[in-house]
Amino acid sequence: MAENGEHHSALPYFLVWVALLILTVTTYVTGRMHLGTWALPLAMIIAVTKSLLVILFFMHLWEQKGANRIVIATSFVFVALIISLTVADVATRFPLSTPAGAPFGTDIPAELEETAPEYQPPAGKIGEPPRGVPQPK
Amino acid sequence: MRQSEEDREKLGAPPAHDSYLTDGTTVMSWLNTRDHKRVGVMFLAAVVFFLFLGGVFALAIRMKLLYPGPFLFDALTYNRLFTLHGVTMIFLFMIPAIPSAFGNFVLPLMIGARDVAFPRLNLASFYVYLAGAVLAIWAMVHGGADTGWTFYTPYSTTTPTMLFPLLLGVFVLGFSSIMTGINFIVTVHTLRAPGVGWMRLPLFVWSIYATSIIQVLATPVLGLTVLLVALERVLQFGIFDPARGGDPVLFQHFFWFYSHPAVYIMVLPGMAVISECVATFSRKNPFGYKAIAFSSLGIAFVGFFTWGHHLFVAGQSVFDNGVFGVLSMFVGIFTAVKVFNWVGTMYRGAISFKTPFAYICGFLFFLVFGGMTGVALATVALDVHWHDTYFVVAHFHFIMVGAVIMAFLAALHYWFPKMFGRTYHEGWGLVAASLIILGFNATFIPQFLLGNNGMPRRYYQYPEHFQALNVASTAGATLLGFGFVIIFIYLLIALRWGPRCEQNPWRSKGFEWLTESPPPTHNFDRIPHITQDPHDYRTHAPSGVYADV
Repeated sequence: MAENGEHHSALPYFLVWVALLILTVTTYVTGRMHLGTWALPLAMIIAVTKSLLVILFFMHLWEQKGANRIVIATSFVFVALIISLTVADVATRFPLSTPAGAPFGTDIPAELEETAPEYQPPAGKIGEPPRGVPQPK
Repeated sequence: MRQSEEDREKLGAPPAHDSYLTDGTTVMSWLNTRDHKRVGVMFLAAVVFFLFLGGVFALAIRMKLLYPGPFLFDALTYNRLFTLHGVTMIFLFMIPAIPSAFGNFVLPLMIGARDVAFPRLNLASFYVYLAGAVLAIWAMVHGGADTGWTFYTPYSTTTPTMLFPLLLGVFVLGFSSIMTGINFIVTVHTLRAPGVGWMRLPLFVWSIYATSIIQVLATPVLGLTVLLVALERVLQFGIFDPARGGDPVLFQHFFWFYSHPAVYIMVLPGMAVISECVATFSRKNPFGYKAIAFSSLGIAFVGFFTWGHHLFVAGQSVFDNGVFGVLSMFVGIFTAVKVFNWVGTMYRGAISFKTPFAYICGFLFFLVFGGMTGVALATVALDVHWHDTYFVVAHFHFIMVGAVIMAFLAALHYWFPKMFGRTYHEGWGLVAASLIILGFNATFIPQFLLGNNGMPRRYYQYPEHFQALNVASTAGATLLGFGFVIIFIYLLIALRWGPRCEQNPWRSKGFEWLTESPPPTHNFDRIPHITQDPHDYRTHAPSGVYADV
C-alpha cells in the first residue's frame, strides 16, 4: 500500500473502470430488451458483479488480510441470508397471496385459474398517490 | 445489614483513594468525559429513567384493562400508550440497558484495559442515544403513534399519528447501538491485558462480544426498514403497497430480520450477567466454560435464522413456515446448554444467597418458562391458535421482562459496590426481589391463560368473562411497580448514605474486582498480568499480578 512505500500501477484500476463501464452499458441494453423472467436475475448479477469489483479493487479489499476479510465475508453471508429466505417465501407462497406484478410466484395453477383476479398494472406514477386508493387525511 | 461503629465512622468519609467519581465533580466534567465508567453511569441513569417511563405506560394500560368496557381513557389513547410502552422499553431501555450501562463500566475492567478502544466514540454513542430519545419523547409529547412498536405496514404508512419523528428516533438510536457494538468488538480484540487469552475471557465479555456482533450486523437492517416506511409515507414509494406491486409481508421480513436478533441483543447481556453472578455466589469455577462461551456465539448466529416465526399467519409460504419453525428450535438447544451449565456451576457450590442470587433464581425460572413457551410457539400448528393473543404477550414478557430485568437487577446489585464504593441494605434487597418475582408471576401467568382462552393482544375492550384474570394481572403489575419503588428508594439512600465497602465485598474472583471499588480514573495503576482463569475458586491467590508497564 502507498503508506508502506509500495506503488500501485494504474492499469488494474483502469481495467476495472472499463469493466464497470461495459457492465453499465450491458445493464442499459438488456434493460431495453424485455427479457421477461430473466430481466431481474440478470440485472442482479450485473449489479453484484459491479459492487464486488468496486469493493475488491477500488476499496482495496483484495489486499486486506485476516479479520477484515472475515468481516466482509460475514456481511455478504448475511445479505445472502436475508435475500434467500425472503425470496424463498415469495417463490413458494400460495400464488393468490403474492401481490400482482411480482416478477415470479404469480403463476396461478389451472384449478385456481377461473377465480383468479386479472392483473391490473399499478395506477399513477411514483410520488403520486395511486388512483382509486383511499388516502389518509 | 447491621452497621458497626466503625462503619458509622466511615459514613460520609471520603474514599481512601482517588476514584473516577472524585476526578472532576462539575457537570461539565461528566458531560465531556471520555472515561468508560462515567459514560456507563450516565447510560445507567438514562435507562433507569426510561424504565420508569415505560413502567408508567405499562401501569396505565393495566389500569384500563381492569374493566372490560371503556375506562379511564379512549381507545386511541390506549393504542398510543401500548405503542409508547413498547418503543420506550425496547429501544430506550432494554437494548442499551446492560451492554451500554454495565458493559461500558465493567468490560474494560474485566480485560485489564484502561478504557474502551474508542473513548470519544463511546461518549458520542451516549449523545446519539440522547438525540434519539429526545426525538422519541418529542413524538410522545406531540400525540405519539398508535401502530405498536412493530410499525407494521400498511397501517404505519397511513396512520395520522406522529409516527415519523418516532421512526426517526428509532433510526438514530440504532446508530448509538452500532457505535457501542463496534467499540466493544475492537476493545476485546485489541486491548486485552497480558495473560487474557480468548479462552481466559470472562463469560460476561464473551456474551457482550456476541451481542456486539448482532448489533453491528442487524441494526443497519432496522435503519433501512424504518427509512423505507418513512419514504412510503412521504413519497408513496410502493415497496410495501400491494396496489403498486409492493408487498406488506416484505416489511415484516425486514423488520424481524433485525428485531428477532434484537431479542438476543437484549437477552445475551442478561445471560452474561448471570454467568458472572452464578460463579461468584456459588464460589465455584464456571461449569462448562467453553460450552457457555460458544453457546453465546451459537445463539448470536442461529438467532439470525429464525425471524420468519413471526410471520406464520401473515401469508408467509408453507415452505418458509416449516424452515423457520425448525430453525427457531435450535435457539432452545444453545439456551439449554447455558441453563444446564449454570445449574452445574451451582451444584455443590457454597451458595451465598444474597440479593443478586435471588435475581439469578428468578432469571432461571423465567428464562426456562419463557423459552419453553417459545419452543411451543415456534410450532406452526400451535402458533396459529396463539398468534396475536395474550399468550404471545406473556411469552415474550417472560423473556424480555422476566429474564432481562432480573439480569439487569442482578447486575445493578452485584456491581453497585464496584460502581459507587458503597453497599445497600441487604434485607430490603431481598424483600424487593421477592416482591418483584412474585409480582411478575402474578402479572403474566394470568396472561398465558387469557391468551390460551382467546383474548387478542392490543385490544381496548374484552368480553366480561376475561375480567377476573385481567384484574389478577393488574394486581401483579402493581406489586411489581411497588417492588421497583422500594429498590429505587434503598439504592438512592445507599448512594448517599450507604456504608463504604471494601474493594471486593463479594470475595469474587472476577477480574474487575482486581482494582479498587470505585475504580480510579485509569482503572489500574499498573496493568495487571492475569495468571488464572476467570472465577478460579480452587485457589485463594489473586487472579493476577501487577506487571510494570
